[in-house]
Amino acid sequence: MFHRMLRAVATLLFVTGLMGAGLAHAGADQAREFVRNLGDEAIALLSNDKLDASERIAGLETLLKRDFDLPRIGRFVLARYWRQASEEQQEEFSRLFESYVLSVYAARLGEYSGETFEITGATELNEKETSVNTVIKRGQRPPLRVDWRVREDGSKPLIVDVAVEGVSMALTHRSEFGSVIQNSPQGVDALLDRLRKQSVKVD
Amino acid sequence: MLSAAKILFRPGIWLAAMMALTLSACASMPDRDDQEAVAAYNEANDPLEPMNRYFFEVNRFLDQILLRPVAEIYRGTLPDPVQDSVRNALDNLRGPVIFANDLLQGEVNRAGTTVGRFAVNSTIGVFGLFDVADSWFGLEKHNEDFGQTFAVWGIPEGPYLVVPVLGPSSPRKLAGTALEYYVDPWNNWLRRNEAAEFIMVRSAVDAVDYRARNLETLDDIERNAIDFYATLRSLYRQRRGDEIRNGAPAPLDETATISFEFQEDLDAETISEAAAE
Repeated sequence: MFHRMLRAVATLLFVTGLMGAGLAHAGADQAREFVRNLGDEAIALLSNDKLDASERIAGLETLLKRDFDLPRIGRFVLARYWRQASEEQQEEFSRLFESYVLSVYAARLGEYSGETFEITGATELNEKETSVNTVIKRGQRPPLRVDWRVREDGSKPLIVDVAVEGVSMALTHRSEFGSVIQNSPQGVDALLDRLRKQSVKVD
Repeated sequence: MLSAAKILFRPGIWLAAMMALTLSACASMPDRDDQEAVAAYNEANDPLEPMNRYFFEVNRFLDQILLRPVAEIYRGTLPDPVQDSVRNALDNLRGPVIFANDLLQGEVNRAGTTVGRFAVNSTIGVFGLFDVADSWFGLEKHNEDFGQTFAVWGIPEGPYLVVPVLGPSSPRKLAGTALEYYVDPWNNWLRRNEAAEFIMVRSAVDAVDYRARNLETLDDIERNAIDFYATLRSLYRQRRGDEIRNGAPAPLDETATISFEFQEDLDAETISEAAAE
């Protein structure tokens, strides 16, 4: 009797263990696949001779908009001030942040050409998120370590953060934006004002 | 000129000046009950922000009138391979210090790499001018300093500091820089041979080459920054942490504030679940 129970428990543990491992694996694999696709598309775009610089950047913006969870990143970046902001401020911030991120990062990515990238690993951070580790090889210059934080929450995976050589984009902007709000009596409006000026500067 | 420069590089004088300023300029503490505000305050690690911003502007001015123009000339006149050889030779000179710190951190394999690199590059690489250790033997370069060793030993970082001339730092890193200045074998050799001014020349060339390599990058960061000072502070501190960990992921307690799950969403879910029941 006791033996049978023990066996049942062992079987149950074994099966759930397998399922758990299977599920966990699917998450990491899917995230890797997702990053690989994005990387391949970006490289194809950057090495396409038929496009001029502005067309390339427009293409990169489309990719970023499609594969990054910009509303979520924006909320993370504004942190505690998101809740303090009025609905109008939240809306305007989301709009300005999106155009800021798209223009800045598309232009930065547009500088690259002839690079290759390699996926070196993937670590699950929590139930929904996986960090996919890649290395970008740049010919003569030293290779760059880039980690992509992929979140699977809903219909398709989306990127919520990118860390280059250990420097997180979301964390940097959170620190920077927090500093602007903290150092101004106008608070969130001061940040909105700076972002507005920045978008004028870019255009 | 040289004596003025000597005063400028005397750590003691700057420390005294900073202490004096510290007492008069402190960033305001957040409300202790506001946990997120406290977390943000701790993450920035910048209680001396007003003083740091002041020296940040001083350094920017020095950069505009001196370092940047020289770096532009350096890059505009010297061919790329020559610049690479300057960088290689400077890196090679740091070999003994990197080796000592590899050992002090218990990184035996990395210490071996450092010895191999130094031996190969100092000989076949013609006094370090060519990094053949990397290109022929696959011995990749890495960096270490005493500040990183102190961090590995668990010595606290102390507050973020912007040091005049030297730039972003911390008391821990500054102590490491000072120690390196005194124990570096080349510096000692130069002092013994009464050629101490070459210590300064070496630092100056190092600064010019480093600045020349980052002209566009720094311009890009400044152009796109909403708050240039805070951006550089964050970039510096994250990068430094990554160097200390030798590229390993940050421990969980340090990344606890990085969550893309928002409390108000969780609250909303609980409310809607309760309503469904």
